[in-house]
Amino acid sequence: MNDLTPDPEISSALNDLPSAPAHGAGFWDELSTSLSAQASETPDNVIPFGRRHIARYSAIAAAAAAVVFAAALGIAGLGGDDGLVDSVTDSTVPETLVTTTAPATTTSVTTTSTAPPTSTTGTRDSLVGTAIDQDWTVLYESAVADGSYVSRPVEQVDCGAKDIAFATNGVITQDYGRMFGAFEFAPGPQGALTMVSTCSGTFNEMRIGAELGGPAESFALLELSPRPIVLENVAWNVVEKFMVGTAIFDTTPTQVRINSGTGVVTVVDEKTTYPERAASELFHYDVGVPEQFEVDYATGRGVSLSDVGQSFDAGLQVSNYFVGDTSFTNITEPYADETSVGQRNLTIPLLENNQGEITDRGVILEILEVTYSGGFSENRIVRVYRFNDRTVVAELRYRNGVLDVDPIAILDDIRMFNAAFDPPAQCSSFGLPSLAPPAQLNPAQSETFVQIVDALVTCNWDQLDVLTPDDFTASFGGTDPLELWMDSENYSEGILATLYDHLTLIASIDEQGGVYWPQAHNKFPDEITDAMRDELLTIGYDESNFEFWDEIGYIGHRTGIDADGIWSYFVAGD
Amino acid sequence: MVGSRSPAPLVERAQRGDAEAFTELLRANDDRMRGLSYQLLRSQAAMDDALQEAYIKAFTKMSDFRSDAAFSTWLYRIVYTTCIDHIRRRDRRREVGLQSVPEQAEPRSFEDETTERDHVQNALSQLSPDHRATLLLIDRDGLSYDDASLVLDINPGTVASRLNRARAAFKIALNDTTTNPEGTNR
Repeated sequence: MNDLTPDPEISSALNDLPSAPAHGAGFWDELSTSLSAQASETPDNVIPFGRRHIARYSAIAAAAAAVVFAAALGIAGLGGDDGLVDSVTDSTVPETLVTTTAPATTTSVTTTSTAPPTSTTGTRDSLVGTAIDQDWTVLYESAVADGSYVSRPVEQVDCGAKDIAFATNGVITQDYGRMFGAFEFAPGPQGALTMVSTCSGTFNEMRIGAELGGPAESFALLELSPRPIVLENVAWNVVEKFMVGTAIFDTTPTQVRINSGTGVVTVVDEKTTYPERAASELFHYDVGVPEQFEVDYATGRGVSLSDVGQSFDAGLQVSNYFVGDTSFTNITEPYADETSVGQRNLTIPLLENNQGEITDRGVILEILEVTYSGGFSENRIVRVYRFNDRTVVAELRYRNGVLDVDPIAILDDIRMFNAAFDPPAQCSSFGLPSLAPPAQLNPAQSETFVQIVDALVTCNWDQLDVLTPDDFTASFGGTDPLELWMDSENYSEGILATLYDHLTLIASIDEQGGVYWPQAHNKFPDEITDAMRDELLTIGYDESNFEFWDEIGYIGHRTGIDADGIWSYFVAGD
Repeated sequence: MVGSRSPAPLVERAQRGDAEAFTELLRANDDRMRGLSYQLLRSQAAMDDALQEAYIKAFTKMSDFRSDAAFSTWLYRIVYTTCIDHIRRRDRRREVGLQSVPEQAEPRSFEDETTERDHVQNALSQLSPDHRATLLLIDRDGLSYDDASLVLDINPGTVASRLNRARAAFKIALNDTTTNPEGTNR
């Protein structure tokens, strides 16, 4: 049985929804075939991954037979004097990044995929100088060169050939020939630019070019070994100059590193950099704690690390913000005497945490990183992780020469988990024992008291909403009580448990017949007795609270129900 | 409703690999599965893709099905997780969060005019997939909190709080789209 009464407005609205469309033609036949194949499980019914692709690519290769490249060389492109653009040259690729396009020695490959044909320029004239039209699509806007990498389909089939070029102001200035698949770009250090092509989601080929003050002159093929079936989320580790990505060799996505010189693909050890981690469970991330740092706090509101000794030499603060709260925006602006060093957009993997088992399913988040030098901290790097339902901001500050480790590595070791923010399953008062209404309450007050406690111990927000009238006082700023309490509970501050605790104290009746808690609520300082203080000590107040009360009276939480049984307030005096 | 045969024998036959029996179970539950997946994915093509995948997955896992839950609840769970996987894969290069970016729904072939249904549909589309699913499972499909918690793989307390927020968000969205039919949806 459901505890919440069905909402007529919502039920009526949902009943107005249009029905889902019927399945497309052939849905049940196709399903029947698949189920029968599953049931029989004979090898003939299982189509190896590569077989249907081989058939398709064979047909395309036959059509382009005049310019089939030596696949054994792993090189695509034609040179010579036929007017075609030679898409493969090594000379312009920085030697520090890519040294060869010779095929890497094949180690034991466990995949069952067969490589589709590598790219070809096909027999056509160079496109340099021609204007792009509506058939062209922007693949990637260069951050270095003035213009974009563009493509135009040549074959109107899935994974068909495309013309690839670079265009500035609508005119093609570089022609990279014809390539197959869909393309993703990943910029790297020293102008490196990786192009990854896929066909129907499966990995086709990887090429690397170099933007040295302008667009890449060519993209050299990098043969990967072992060759993955799927390769996604390719990005560069800009500090160490290798590529990372998510690869599938059999069925499981794994994080990999790719040597940009040899093409060797290595599965990444899943261990984190720092054994100690500080977690914000509420917003679903954790932070590695370098040895020279200690944890200040790790709560629902964020994680803070400081250098041991807290000398302000270094610190990392990671803070959480709900959607709509833009108070963090000034953190990306320069502070006094700071100079901008740079800004970049990065991608990070969003991990899944299934009861402690961390997996990467290839979901990524695009983040903003801003770097400043100078000012009080001397160095400051800010990363903004913006989700649709929350924002997390990490700020690393460090003075020159104090860090034992690469600051980027510290930030890179912040792990974000792909989990929606949700209110806690149980509020802070969930499961607490029921309370009998105090004897001095009148019947209406007793009923309200029971309802309040029932709502608290079951975390029934609907009931709390019903019990709080429009003029209920939850704060002296007029904040909506549920909004205030949900916010507090979301940040694990336990406001509902605080309310429950106060209801366990001795009830007092005022001159109008209303009941209130605690006894000290409406007393002058000299009227607060030891007994009144003692009962407050039982629910978590301490002597430091009392110091303020000596002058101004009780300023802790108080709650009251009027003589008619209307719950009127639950508010803190400060 | 499971048709002319009683559910238990069909389930048992399906667990023994009888594809025909399994298909009969699917057809009996397909309306509700289509209803949930279409509202999550907002595309007939995506709905069919996801349901093909989910139904095949369910058939391969039939030996795992225990009769302590209804078959429909168990199937809901597989359909729901498959749809969420599809959404994540579709959105993987965008900023990710489960309050969804307004989705590009297919052109409506069966409704040409802006109607009350469109307002409701638009309002529902503004909820995150999790909230949308919670609202549909409980307030439309009539699942209990316990069954919904099995489908969504959260405890019943979270179902309650999630439903509360989903209802609130839906009402706000409903009022927004009613007063501003052009709305913020694309």
